Amino acid sequence: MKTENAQAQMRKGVLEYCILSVISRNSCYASDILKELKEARIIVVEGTLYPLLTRQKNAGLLSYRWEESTQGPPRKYYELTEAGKEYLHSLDQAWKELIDAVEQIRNKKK
Amino acid sequence: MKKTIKISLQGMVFFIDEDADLLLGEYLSGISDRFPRQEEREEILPDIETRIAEIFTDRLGGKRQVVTLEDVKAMISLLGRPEDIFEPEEGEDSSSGTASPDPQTSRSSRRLFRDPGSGVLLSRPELDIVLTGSGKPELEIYKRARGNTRQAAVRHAEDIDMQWETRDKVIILRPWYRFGKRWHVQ
Repeated sequence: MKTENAQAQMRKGVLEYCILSVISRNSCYASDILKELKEARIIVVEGTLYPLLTRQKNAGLLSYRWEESTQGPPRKYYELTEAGKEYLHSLDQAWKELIDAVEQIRNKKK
Repeated sequence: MKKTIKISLQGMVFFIDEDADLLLGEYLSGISDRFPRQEEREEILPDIETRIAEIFTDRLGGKRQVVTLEDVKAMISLLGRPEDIFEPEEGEDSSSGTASPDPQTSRSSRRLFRDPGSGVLLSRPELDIVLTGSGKPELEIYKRARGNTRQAAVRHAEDIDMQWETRDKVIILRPWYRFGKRWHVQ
């Protein structure tokens, strides 16, 4: 089994969580989100972000507003809805539990 | 000397080399074809085009005026190939048919016919374009809805950005529709 495949699967699983986490701090537009995700090396190709944003918006987790830009076309600024905040809170809990579970297994003495 | 083409990406105008334009067109078509549902395409494609415009603007840096093939290749490596971008939604299985692409817009529904007279008949899911005439062609655009076909418009070649060559060569249509989709007819 290739390590890259396992890494890709792990990354994919937490990408949506990371997107919501980024947006939860400030309303932001796609390039802001991409910058953070790339700095954290959680996203491989930028294009992946757009279908996920739309999926999260359609699920009622995100909303957006348009803002004019002096550097190009108007930008969509995303923010979490109330449902999105609740969902993120439950993901935070799940993430902590997951880390604890993995750590417990990895650190168990023989 | 190279020929350049003027294009618009979400309202941003760029000059682009012909070879670069061809690759860009193929890329956008490839992405467009990947959307299982039309409403997703209408929503996401403009966002992707906006990002492409940003990438081109950054790469040109106010120093160059023309988008080159290298710029388009660099953009694709940043954004990713269509097959890298789209992954099945949870619970979707392409073999199960539970969330299969809308047959009206799926790749398999695309058919291309050659008109023995002078041009090419391109059949798209929602629109048919018929090229007629042997010199500068007219475009007859037909809309299909609920099983009916009706003529929607007739356009002269000058009305849209298109390249017309002999039937043995490549014919490129560049109508920039609302969602930036364009059709390359070969």
